[in-house]
Amino acid sequence: MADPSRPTYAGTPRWVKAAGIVALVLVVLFVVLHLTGRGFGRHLHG
Amino acid sequence: MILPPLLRKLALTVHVTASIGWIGAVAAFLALAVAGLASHDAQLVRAAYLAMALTTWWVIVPLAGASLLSGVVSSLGTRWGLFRYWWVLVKLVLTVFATAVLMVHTRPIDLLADAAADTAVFGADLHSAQLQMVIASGATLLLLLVLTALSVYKPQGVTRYGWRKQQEQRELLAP
Repeated sequence: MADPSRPTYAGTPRWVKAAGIVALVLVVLFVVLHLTGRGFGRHLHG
Repeated sequence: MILPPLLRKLALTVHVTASIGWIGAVAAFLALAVAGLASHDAQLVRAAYLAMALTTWWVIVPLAGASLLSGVVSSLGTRWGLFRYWWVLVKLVLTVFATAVLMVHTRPIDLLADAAADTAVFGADLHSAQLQMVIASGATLLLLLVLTALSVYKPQGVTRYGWRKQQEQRELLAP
């Protein structure tokens, strides 16, 4: 059992969570654009 | 390991110089990429892509490497550490990401420079690569500005590892 007098970790700050969500949205958007063929640069592969 | 003040300031000077230089070089690259995409002057377009390849290999790649390396040395050599504070960790992740994106884009940059050296007029097949240069350099510029803001504002918050280290130090100092 944890000692109640011992300080506990405050958790991940809100700005880090918000930045993580923004990064995730951008990555998903990038992947979707490439998979649907709307991405840029497909002429260079292969 | 905490560096002595002289070395700490040297690492910080290299880091600030390389990072700000990286931003300036990417801004110049973006201007060339826009000129290469939008201009109807064939000579200007060819010159732009030749200059972009030179700028990439001789300015942007060395500055990105120096920024990443000096940033790691600076953080490990001070009380900030590399994994103790969220702002340092986020900066590290974003810098590694920006450097990786840069290295991936050296291939289309070289292809455009080769095309500029070999042909007088760019074909439609290179349009997507030209557009890619504008979008990638614009996004990189935004990312580098975010990194600069993180360094200046240093938003609060320690990682779980940093918090554990702080507790260990407090216990060591406690009577």
